[in-house]
Amino acid sequence: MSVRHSFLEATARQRALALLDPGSFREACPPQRAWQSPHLALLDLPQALDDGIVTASGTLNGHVVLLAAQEGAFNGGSVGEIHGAKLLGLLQAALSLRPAGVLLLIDSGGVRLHEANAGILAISEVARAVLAVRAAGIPVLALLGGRCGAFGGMGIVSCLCDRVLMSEEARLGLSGPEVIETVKGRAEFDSHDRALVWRVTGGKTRRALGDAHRLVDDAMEAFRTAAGQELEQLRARPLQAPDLAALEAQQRSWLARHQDFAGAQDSPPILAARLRAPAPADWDGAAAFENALLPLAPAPADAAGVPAGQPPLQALGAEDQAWADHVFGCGRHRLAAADGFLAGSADVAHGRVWVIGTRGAAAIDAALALRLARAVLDAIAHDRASAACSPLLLLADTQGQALSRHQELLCLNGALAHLAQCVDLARRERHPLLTLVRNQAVSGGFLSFGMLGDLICALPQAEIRVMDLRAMARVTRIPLERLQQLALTAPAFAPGAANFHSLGGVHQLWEAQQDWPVALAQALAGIDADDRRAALGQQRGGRKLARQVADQVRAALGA
Amino acid sequence: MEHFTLVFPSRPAPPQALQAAAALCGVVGSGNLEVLVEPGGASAAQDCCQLEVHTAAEGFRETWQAVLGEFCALHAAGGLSLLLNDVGATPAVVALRLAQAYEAWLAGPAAGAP
Repeated sequence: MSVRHSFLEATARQRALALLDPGSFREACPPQRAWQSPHLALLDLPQALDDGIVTASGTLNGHVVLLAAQEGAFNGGSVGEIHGAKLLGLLQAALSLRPAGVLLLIDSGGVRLHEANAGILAISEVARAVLAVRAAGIPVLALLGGRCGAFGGMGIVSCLCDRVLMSEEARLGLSGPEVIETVKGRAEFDSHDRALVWRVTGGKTRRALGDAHRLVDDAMEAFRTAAGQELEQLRARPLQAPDLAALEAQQRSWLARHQDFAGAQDSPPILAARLRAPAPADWDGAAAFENALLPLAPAPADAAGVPAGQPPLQALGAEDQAWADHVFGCGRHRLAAADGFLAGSADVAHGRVWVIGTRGAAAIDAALALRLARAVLDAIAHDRASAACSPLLLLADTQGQALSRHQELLCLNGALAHLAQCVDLARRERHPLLTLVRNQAVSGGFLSFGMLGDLICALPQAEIRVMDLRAMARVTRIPLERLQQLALTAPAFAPGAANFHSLGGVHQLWEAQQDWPVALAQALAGIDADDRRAALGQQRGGRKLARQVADQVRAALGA
Repeated sequence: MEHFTLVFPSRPAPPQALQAAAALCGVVGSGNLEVLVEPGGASAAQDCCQLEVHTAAEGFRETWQAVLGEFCALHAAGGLSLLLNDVGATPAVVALRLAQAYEAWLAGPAAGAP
C-alpha cells in the first residue's frame, strides 16, 4: 500500500525535497546565524536561521528549476526583509539562469508586521521581479497547499504567476477573515466559521472562478506530478507576456465575473454556475472536481470594458482643483473625478502626462481597481494610435483594500494583480511611470498600484504605512508604548513617508514650499525603469540587509 | 525570551563527520524548535559540546539543563556546537529534535532534512 504524504502537514524543507528529483535539491545559502531577522531580535522575539524560507535549485523530471518554499509555521510564513530578499534573489537569478520554471511554494499571511515597511517593500520588489521573469518567457508557478494559504501581498503575488496550483485545503485571498471581522464585525465575516472561510477563499472556489488553474490533492506526489505536467505544457506551448489584447480580454472577464456574481456572499451560486448539474453529492478528490468543471467561457468581446453602476466622472471639487493647480499649474490639467477615482491628463515641461489614481483615501475594491485598469489600458491604446509614449502619473491616496466578504469571495487580490499587470504593460511599452503619494498610502491598495511606479515621490501630507501602531500592537501583542518607543529609531516598521524614504521605497520627499511643477518635470526627466530600491535602501541606511542577501542568493545559485 | 549558552562534557564526535557542513532540523513554530548542528569554533574542546539556546518559554533553565545534559551524555557530540531556536517545545520534542539533528549531521547534507 502506498503512503500518502500530506503537503499541508509537511515543513517547507520537506516540501522542497519532495517536489524536486531525488538528490537534486541544492539549497542556496543554507540556514545561517547571520540571516536571522534583526528586526525580530529588536523586539526580543524568536528568530529562524532561514528567516522562514528555503531557496533552492534542483531538477523536476530532469529539467532545471528554481524553487522557494515558505515556512508557514514560522510567523505565518510572513515576509520580512531577509525573507523577501531571498525570494527576490531567486527571481533575479532566474532571469540570467533561464531555468525551465520557477516554483513558488507559497504559504504566507503576507507582510511580517514586526518589520512591516521592509516587508511590503520586499513584496513589491518580488511582484515586479515575478512580472519580469514572466516577461522573459520563464514560467512561474504558484503552488498553494499550506496551512497559511496565500494572503495579503503574497495573495497578489500568487495571482501574478503564470499558473496557480492549489489544494482544496489551501486558501487564496487578500484580507484574512480575522481582519475583516475585527474591522467590519462578525456579521460581515465570521472568522470562527471555518466552513464559511474555506467556501469564500478555499481551493474549490478559487478553481471554480479560474483564479487557480488546477486543483491538486493534498499529497506531495500530486503537487509534484501537477507541477511537472504544467511545466511540460508550458514548454510545448510557451506563454507570451500579456499584451494589450490579452489584458483587454482579462479586463472583460473580471467585469463579467462581477456582473455574474454581483452581491454574492457565499460560494453556492458560483459552484452552481461553474459545475455540471447535478453536482455529485460527494467529491472524490481533485480529479473529480476538475471533471465536473464546465469550460470557462471567454467574456463576450462587446462587453463594455468599464464596471457597471459606477458614478460618472465630474469636474474636480474645490479641494482637488486647488491641489491640481499646485501640482501642474493653473489651466495645465484636464482632470475629472468620481468618488475615489481621478483621471485625465496634464501638461508638463516635456509634454502631456496621463494622470490616473485614487483620491479621498479611497478603499480599493474590484470596481475601483478595474476602473484604474481601464484608464491605464486606454492611455496605452491612445498613445499607440498616435505613436506617442506619454508618462503615466499614478496618484496614490488610499486607505488600502476594501474589507468585505463579497470582495474576498470574488478574489480581490486577483483584480489587484490584474491592475498591476496593466501598469506593468505600460512599463514594458516604455511609458515612464511616476507615482505621487498625495495623502494616505496603505497596504494592498498601495502595493498593487502606486508602488509599481518607477519613481515614487511623497508629498508633504503623505502618510505611508502597512498598519497603524495601535492595530500592530493588537496583532503582535507587543505593548503600544514599546512600539512607539521603538518607532523612533526603527524605520523597518514605523509608519511614515520618511521611513519609507530611508528604506528606498520612496525616492523623493517633496516639500510644501517647493515649486511642484518644476519638481515634477525634474522627476520625470530622471526616471529609470529598473527596480533599484534595494540598493537605494542600502545606500540610505534604512535597509542594510536586503540587497546583500539578494546578491548572495543570486551568487549561490550561480547567476 | 531567554538566551543562554550551556556546555556539557561529551565523547568526541566521529572525526570524519567533523568535516561535514551544518545540519538543520525542525522549524521555529509554536511548540516546536529548530536545531542547528555545526562543528564547534576555534575555542571548542573535543570533549565538550556547546549549546546556545534561544527560547520563548521563560523560567525552565533546570529542565533545559537536564534535557541538553542527557543529549550530550548519550551522543558523541564533543567538538560540536548546537544552536536551538525554541518556541515552547516540550522536553520530549526537544530531545527528539536534538537526536534528529545529530543523525542528520552524521548522515551528511545529501540525506536532506527530516
